[in-house]
Amino acid sequence: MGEKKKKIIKSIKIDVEKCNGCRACEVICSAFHATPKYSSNNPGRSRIRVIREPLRDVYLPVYAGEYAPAECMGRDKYVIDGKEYDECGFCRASCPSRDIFKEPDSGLPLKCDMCEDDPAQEKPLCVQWCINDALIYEEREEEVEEEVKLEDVEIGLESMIDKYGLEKVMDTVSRMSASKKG
Amino acid sequence: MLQYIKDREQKPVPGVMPILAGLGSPQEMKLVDEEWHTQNFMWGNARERKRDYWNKEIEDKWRKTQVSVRTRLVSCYNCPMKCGATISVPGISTYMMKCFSKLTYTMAAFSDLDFGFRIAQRATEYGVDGFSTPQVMAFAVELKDAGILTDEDFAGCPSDNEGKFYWLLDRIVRREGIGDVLANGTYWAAQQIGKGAEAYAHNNIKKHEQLPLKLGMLNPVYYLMYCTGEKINITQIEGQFPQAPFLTMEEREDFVKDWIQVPDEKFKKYLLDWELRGERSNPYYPTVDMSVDIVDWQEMMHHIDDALGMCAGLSSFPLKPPYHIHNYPTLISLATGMDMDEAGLTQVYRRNRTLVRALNVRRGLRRADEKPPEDHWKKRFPELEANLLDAYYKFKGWNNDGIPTKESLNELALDYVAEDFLLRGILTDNEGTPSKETSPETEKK
Repeated sequence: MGEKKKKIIKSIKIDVEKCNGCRACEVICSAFHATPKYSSNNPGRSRIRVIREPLRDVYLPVYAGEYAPAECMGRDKYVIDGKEYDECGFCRASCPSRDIFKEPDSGLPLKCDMCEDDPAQEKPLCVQWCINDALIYEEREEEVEEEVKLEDVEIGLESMIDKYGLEKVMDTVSRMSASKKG
Repeated sequence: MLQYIKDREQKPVPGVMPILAGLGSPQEMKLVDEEWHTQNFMWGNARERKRDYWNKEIEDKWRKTQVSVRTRLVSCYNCPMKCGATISVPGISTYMMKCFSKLTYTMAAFSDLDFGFRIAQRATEYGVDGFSTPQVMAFAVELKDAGILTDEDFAGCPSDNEGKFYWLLDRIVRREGIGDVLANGTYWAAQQIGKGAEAYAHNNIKKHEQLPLKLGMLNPVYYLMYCTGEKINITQIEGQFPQAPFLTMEEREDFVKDWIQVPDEKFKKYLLDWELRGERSNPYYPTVDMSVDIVDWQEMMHHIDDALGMCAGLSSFPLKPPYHIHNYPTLISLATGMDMDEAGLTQVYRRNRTLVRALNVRRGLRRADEKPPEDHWKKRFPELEANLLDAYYKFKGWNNDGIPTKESLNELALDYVAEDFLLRGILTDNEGTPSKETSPETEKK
């Protein structure tokens, strides 16, 4: 706790003027994260979603971020240079108030992992596939405090505990493990 | 594939009009230079060619108009290309436009680009076809000027030019008054109007409105495509073979050196030997056999695209596209699990194309229908034209009336079609030559 170490900060610069709503990023993200890899694609399970309202010229790629067990007390709506964006348009959260950034079948939260892979990808797939250069990948080094990184299992369990309560989740796991042994 | 598309977009084909040099549809939303369209295509009811139309003043004016209304370069459905744009003219709803619709209303009405963008918004919202609608409106204006349509037909129509076109559009869409007649297209409208209106419906093939083009010299490849194309519009058959020869051998060699898309090396030779003037120029070069080859290749790619739901803008339509006969089979196999190779894919095309022909033949299509309008080129070459059609039919395995023969149908495992044709008397057992009565009405019995 509190130890400093060098860390690579990965970021994706999103140029909303260049996005033309093709959603290739959604296709390739969901395909890359499919099991087995590339076996299917479903924009519903993409970690990047493009908020697209052509008649209002809204083209906004947003990446899945933190899981939020409850929605915010109030919702935000941005007007930028006279252009009105939808409420919660810029928010990255996997939130009970909307469908995006959730696995369509289970409802479990999704989070962008910058396509961490073995061997490592040169750039995240969405960046590689954006033909209009609306997504630009950048890396920089920073000194940060050491942190605990949650894995997929923990993120999923946390959300289920929030939804059903710790007791129910533990009971269910015990029951399942007993029937498997039996 | 993606890398090829990116590279190809960075390297437009030199020596051709800018509008034809890239991928996708002609990039009319991105580019402002419309010299090619405004000077080669016809204005009005496919009526007038303006060879010296384009100049700096018009370019500047049209650039200003286009840039001011063009909100964002987009494309059809979820395509990442930029063939289209969202257009926002102040005071009217935003809409999406692509390709030649930018000019069809402008040119039909002898007007300007600002008018084109405005009326196209309404037309797009109505959902009318951007090629044939402007032509039927221009046709109506001509008939009115000629006294064939009357003041009564045009009662309530504004007197200004642009006003007429808006009024006609609204009448057509609501099928009100003369609009009810015009909504059927120039061919049927002319029949219904009579009084010499047929002479004004002068740009149809197989009863369908064509692109407003009336050129000077006959291009034999285009002659065949116009005649025999059953996708009705030239843009749905033409594509990868250049529309005109390159001027210098240097340019030709430069073009063919990375022309990976050709199904066979012979197509490179056809292009290398093609001159603007002299023995190896239109209309006699490409030769009859070469023209048939070229049409077959272009037609093949369009039919494959149709079977796959692929946009022609990345395949059959532009020069040097990313999708072509050599990579398609692998992509199809990977996507579907089907075993596919070039020979197999070519056979698919042959069956599809022949089946389309068979369906139309059953509805009465014959050689007599396969002809471009009389005034389509300034000079006509009846003997050459007949030779071209003969050769094309022979190549396809059809008889002289354009009907697939029993033998060729059986070769394509379309024997059930042959049986149907024999039953209907469309074919007879004698070598597949049709019986004496060839009129569609009697064969429909």
